[in-house]
Amino acid sequence: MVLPVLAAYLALVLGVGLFGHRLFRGTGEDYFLASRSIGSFVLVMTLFGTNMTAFTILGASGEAYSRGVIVFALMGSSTAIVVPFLIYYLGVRSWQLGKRHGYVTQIQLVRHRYGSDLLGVLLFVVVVALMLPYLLIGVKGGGDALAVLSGGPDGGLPSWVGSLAVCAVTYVYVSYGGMRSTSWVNALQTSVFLLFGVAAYFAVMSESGGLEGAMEQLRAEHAGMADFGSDRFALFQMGSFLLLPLCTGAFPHLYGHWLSARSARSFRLAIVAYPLLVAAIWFPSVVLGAAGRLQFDPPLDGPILVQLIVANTGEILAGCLAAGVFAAIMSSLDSQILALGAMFTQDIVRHHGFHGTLREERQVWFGRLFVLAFLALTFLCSLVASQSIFALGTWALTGFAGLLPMFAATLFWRRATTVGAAASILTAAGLWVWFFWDSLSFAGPYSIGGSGLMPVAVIVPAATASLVIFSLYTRTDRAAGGWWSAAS
Amino acid sequence: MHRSHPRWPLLVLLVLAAAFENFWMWPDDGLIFGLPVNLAYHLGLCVVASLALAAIVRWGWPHDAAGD
Repeated sequence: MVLPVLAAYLALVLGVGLFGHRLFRGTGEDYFLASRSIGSFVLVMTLFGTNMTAFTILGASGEAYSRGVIVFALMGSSTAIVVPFLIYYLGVRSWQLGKRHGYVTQIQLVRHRYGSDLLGVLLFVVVVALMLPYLLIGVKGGGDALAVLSGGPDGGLPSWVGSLAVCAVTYVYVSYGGMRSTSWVNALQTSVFLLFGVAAYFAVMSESGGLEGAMEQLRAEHAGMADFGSDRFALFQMGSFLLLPLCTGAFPHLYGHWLSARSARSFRLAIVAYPLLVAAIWFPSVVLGAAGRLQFDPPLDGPILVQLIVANTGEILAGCLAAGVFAAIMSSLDSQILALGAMFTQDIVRHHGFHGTLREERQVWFGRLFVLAFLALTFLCSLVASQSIFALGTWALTGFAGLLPMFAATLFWRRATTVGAAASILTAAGLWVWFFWDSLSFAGPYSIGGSGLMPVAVIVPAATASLVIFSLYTRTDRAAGGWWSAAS
Repeated sequence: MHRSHPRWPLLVLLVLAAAFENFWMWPDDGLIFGLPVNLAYHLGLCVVASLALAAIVRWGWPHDAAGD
């Protein structure tokens, strides 16, 4: 019964996505930004849904299963504090500049601001490279979830079937309906995973003796799962993870949603509601993951959340809850592949190739083909990826957090120069590669020297220092001066 | 530097970031309202953050975006 319910849900998502195409106006701006027409409610749901990935639903519960309730603070409340401020500062300013200059991608903003094509290409390469592990967590999460839901290792579907289904459904409605379909489907999917997340929480907790009983038992049987620790490791972890949500300010798919807003005022609801929505989804995810330790001993055969759902609910409810898991996965994947298509179309095909010689509709087709190739690559990687969803997600977020100093300076610091911006990007990318390489020979969850300090705590300050030092020691670009006057 | 935002919201962010590091409670594994105290504290912090942001949106909206 689980699979038919899930199939019905995927059909509903496709239906809503394809319906969005009926309002398509045939222009690039409409395809990628829904003609900047998204209102407050859809904006908050789509911003939130886009930022809540398989990392949140499957990764957080899996990490809470191993480490306990500290995971809520590490990624939940840190996100609740940092992300609304990023929307307040970067989102509103990006929307103003995007509307004024007609930007569709963040690379257009950077290229125009600094007057440098080379910087745009560098940023394109780094952002696309970082998107691979980020897409991978959704594709891998879909495969892992469906494998467990269909019967687990004994007779269930192989992981690649779920991965392929997630890729195919998302690709169809994104390539057909663009930003409008993506935003509508995201609003639907965010409602679904919030609703079913809460339902999963009550269904599983009632089988586990209620919240208080489960937490009491957890405290008694698994020391350290109900506290945050007291050593230097905990201190470094808490300090590091407060920096990780900075990645949100550099996500190309969030930038696209910012530009799709109808007005600056549309951001207000998102800013205020964001911390409450984060709490509403991270709390059940973390509590269920930690409480899962009481029902399942390690090692696990698949995501703990899905195993809890299958073990504690009826088949129809399990199917609905599974739909919630898929909703969380696809509501991010769709925006990510739309952003990739936008960047390839606007920043490579249009800017460096065929501007003026190729119809706009044909340019969009290039974006669709690029996304198809990229999704195929991600799918192939998902077949061999061995890292946990939490670990993959953390690496992707770390890389994007390293780009934030450059984006913030682009929007707010007049003295930032092309050399400073390039130095900041290269510093972040270089350190990311260095730490990732180091992690390959590291047993268990990676931190620098096993201290608890995460790479993001070094990469963000280093990228900021490079930006400031190189900007102060190089001349302000003439093109930037003109842009700044027009933007102020 | 482009100054469209007032300065006091940045102070609010710093206060919330400091409150996030509740190291004095970290070793405590007691329960409050059926929840581990640290988890309850961070849930409360989310609610406080939302209230603070409501104040920022009301009284600290960037001046050049007021008409947009």
